[in-house]
Amino acid sequence: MKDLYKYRALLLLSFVMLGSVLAYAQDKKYRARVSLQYTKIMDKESYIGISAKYKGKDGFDQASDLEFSIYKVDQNDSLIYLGKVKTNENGKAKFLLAADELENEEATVFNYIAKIENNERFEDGETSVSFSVANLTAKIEMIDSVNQISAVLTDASGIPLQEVPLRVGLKRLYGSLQIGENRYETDENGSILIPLVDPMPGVDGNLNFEVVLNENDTYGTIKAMVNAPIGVPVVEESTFDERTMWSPPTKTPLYLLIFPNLIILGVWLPILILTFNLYRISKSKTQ
Amino acid sequence: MSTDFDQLVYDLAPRKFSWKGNLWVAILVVIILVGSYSYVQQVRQGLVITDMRDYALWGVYISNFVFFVAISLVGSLITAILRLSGIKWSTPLTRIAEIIAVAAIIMAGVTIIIDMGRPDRMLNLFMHGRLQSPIIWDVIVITTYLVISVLLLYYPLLPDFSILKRHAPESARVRKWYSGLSLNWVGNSEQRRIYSRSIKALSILIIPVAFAIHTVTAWLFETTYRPGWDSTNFGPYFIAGAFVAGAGAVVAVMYVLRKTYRLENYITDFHFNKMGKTLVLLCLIYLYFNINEYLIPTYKSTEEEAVHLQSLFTGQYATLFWTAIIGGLVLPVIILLFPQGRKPLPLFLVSIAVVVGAWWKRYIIVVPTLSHPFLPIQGVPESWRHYSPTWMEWSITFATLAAALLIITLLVRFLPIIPIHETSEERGLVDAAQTK
Repeated sequence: MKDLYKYRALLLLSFVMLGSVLAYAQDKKYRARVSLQYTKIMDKESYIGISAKYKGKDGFDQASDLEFSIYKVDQNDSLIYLGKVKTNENGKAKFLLAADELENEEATVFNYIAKIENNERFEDGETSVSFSVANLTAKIEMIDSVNQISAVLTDASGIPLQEVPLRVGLKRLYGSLQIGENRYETDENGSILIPLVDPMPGVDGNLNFEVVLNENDTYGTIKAMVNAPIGVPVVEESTFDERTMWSPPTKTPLYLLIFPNLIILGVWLPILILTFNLYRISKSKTQ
Repeated sequence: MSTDFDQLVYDLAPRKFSWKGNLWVAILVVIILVGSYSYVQQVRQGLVITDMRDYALWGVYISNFVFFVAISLVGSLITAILRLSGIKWSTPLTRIAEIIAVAAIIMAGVTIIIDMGRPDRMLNLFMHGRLQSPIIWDVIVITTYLVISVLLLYYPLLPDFSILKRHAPESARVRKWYSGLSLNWVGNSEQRRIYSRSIKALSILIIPVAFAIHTVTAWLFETTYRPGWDSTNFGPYFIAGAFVAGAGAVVAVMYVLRKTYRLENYITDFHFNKMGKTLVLLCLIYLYFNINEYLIPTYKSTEEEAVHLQSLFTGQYATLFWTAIIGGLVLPVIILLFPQGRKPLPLFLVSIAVVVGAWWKRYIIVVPTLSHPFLPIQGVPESWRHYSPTWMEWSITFATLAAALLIITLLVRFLPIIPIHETSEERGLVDAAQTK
């Protein structure tokens, strides 16, 4: 009888252990590593960029299809729910802030929180970002017969921000081409002035420059775009309609049509005559 | 009735195969059947059955193609050049040369089709071909050369067919074929006039076309920017090599036929001696081109060329390279410089070495270069960087070689190996031939 209890206890213990293992296997969730970045593109949009990854079996992977709830922290430290956003296949998401979100506020520092809540694959968690509002303006002007790009960086109240590094680039299809130095620091007026000396090609002569305050601890990322028709117009040198060595049969270069065909004719005409001569031989029996 | 003429016809008329001949045909057919099986697999599964990948785009098939093209040049050498030069001793060799040329050029065309991943799209070459592409030039020139070679084989056969339709020891059915193929040849003045003019015109016409076929084949390589092929020397280099391969093939075939059909009175030691001397000259010319082709790139040793040449001189292909150069060119020259070396049997053995060396030389020209491109492909499996033909590739290649030999064998079975009419003319038996 005592043995029977012992066996029952062992059986029960086995089930409990097996159940624990299965339950653990089902409940094991990944911990997402999340970073937030505030970005403002002047005269266009402001958003909170989210980048999420996690440590999988073979190292870090992008956390795709991960939903975040976005909250704004008000002055009383209470959370205001703004909405949800999901990461794409690269583990990135972009939560657009409403145009009036950062205006009419007495606060100088804004706090936002992105939360992972009740996700099947990932543990609950939250990440916050704090920033102050700044403004960046850029324009092209001609000084001493040289085109110059000037930019001014100010805070929300219009006070120039000094000794802040800005980067100037020319927008291209796959990214930004650096103009001049790697970075320019703003002067006491919060401005920089970069001469555009070298001729730069652009479609119809249009060039799109950007001045960027990149991932600043206080102000996040701020971009100001400026378009100017000061480039060298790109002339498309397509040979599509020309007769070239690389064109299709209908557009073979004329000399390649004429001379080889003359040679072919010059060889095949005698061949045809020689073949016809066989017929003549067969008909010359009686002569 | 001229006894001499009867004897001549008896000696030179085609004969039925003995059991050895039938066995030879059976062996060739078996090799072709094995190759056909492999080719069916290739058509069903694609070129994946070969070892050709992104690096070695051209493998043993293309080297075999270049070999066939080279062999085919012999038709223009023996038939046209020697005929136009007024050299009479080559008469017994002309038919052999023409038969080899026709067989080789047919198989060259077949080999190109074999190399196609989608042979069902072959007509696209003609329908959508671009004259800018050397591939199209090759297609045009091979077709042209085939037609001229067939005509050059057929024209001198007309009087022979006329003789054979009356005198050949064949069945009535075969004689009927001879009769039809003789095109009512009676040898009257008009027929002889057209005949002579046509053969002369063909002899002239085939020389530039033969040179073109080899030059264009060389351009296929030259126009592809690769180490080992980036040369302006390739056209004459290929032509010189083709003359060597073709002359070697003629010597080998004429020895076998002389032995088999007991033609010692027609293909004499004198002919072997002459062909031996011709072969020496051709080998020396080809050696000269080889020195040009390898010495200057070695002297310059640009990075990619150096890697390529190292693989030939001391690396992976060194054994093949030196065997082909020394065994297929240098030793033959040395042996053939001595009169004893130009006797039938030694010359036959030398010619076999020359032909085998010529085949491997084409392999060496094609494959090592593809292993060392100027712009290596990134991220490909290591196995793709090396090429070693699969057994199916070998079986298909051997089948094409066997098919060429089978064409030669069958033509030899039904055509006189030595021109009867021309020989009778040279021996003063022409009147007898006319009256009979």
